[in-house]
Amino acid sequence: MRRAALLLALVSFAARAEPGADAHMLDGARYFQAGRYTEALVEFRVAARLAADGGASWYVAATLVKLKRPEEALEEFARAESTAPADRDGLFDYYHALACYDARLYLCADQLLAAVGAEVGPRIGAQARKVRADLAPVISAVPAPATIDWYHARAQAAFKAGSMVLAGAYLREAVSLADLRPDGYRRGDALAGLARARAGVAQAARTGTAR
Amino acid sequence: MNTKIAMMVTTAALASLLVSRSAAGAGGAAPPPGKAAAHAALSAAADLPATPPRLPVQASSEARAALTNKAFGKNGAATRQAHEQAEQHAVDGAAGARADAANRAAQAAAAAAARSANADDHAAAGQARATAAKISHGGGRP
Repeated sequence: MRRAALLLALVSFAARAEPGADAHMLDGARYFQAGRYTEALVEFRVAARLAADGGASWYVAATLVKLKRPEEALEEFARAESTAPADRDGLFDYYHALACYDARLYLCADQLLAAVGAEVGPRIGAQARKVRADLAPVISAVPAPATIDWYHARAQAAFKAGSMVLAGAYLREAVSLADLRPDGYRRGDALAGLARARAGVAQAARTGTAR
Repeated sequence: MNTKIAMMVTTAALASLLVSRSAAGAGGAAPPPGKAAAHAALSAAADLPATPPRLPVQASSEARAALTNKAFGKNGAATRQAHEQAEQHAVDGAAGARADAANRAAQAAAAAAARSANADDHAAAGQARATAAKISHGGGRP
């Protein structure tokens, strides 16, 4: 324990020489490590506000996953992808997949987990494979119309709340699920809604009000 | 177990820090230490989902209305707004606190520099007086 404290003190000492945003990143890391995700979220949000590159958004999103706020996490991941795409890596994809999973966007989760490579290390790699194995029977079965209706209802609620990113996520899932059915249940509705969501995201990006 | 994880995180952060320092020295673009520590913390805390996957089913219209209200409607919007307001307040506070601390540190450094400058002035004045006294007494040369 003393050695751990000494190491953390060394890191802290070195990081103090770094300016604003990174000091908040370090505080966020400390809180995150201690399981104090609410405090970590505040620190990462301050870092995101101070930093010029937008990379802190990835950490904000991952912390929202830990706080069991998957829909907000999905919006934040979308923001991170648009502002700091170069920072994306397998670890963030893993957290992004967990956000999709918690929002019941299982096809989205599976797609992200399939792309998680060896760079995340053996433990997270094994976890990714385990989650995919759990998802396989769920996402390969023919979905009931009531299941697809649920995704449409969520998308409509997201539209109403002004979240084009979320609406798009639910409708992408609805399209993929419709493809699993011979009758393509409500596929046309889903595609039309998806086009509307994409137009909304593009407009928000132009006006700087992405959500 | 916690100690072991803490050791792993801090060791990874320190290693990243050392790599970032050396890479920066060599003109590379390694992540800054705070970001490296945050990445290590995320890696250590990445776990499995708590519940098994289960496809949802659209409920009856009453249940649907309740669900919509819970997720995005009055309750959902209120919860989210409360989260956002509380976090905004905390973010403002955290940013302000650090700025205050930086200001206090800068003021302390300025005060120390002023004290140091005064001390130097006193020392210089003393040295000048001693030199003048030596000269007036016929000394001053080595």
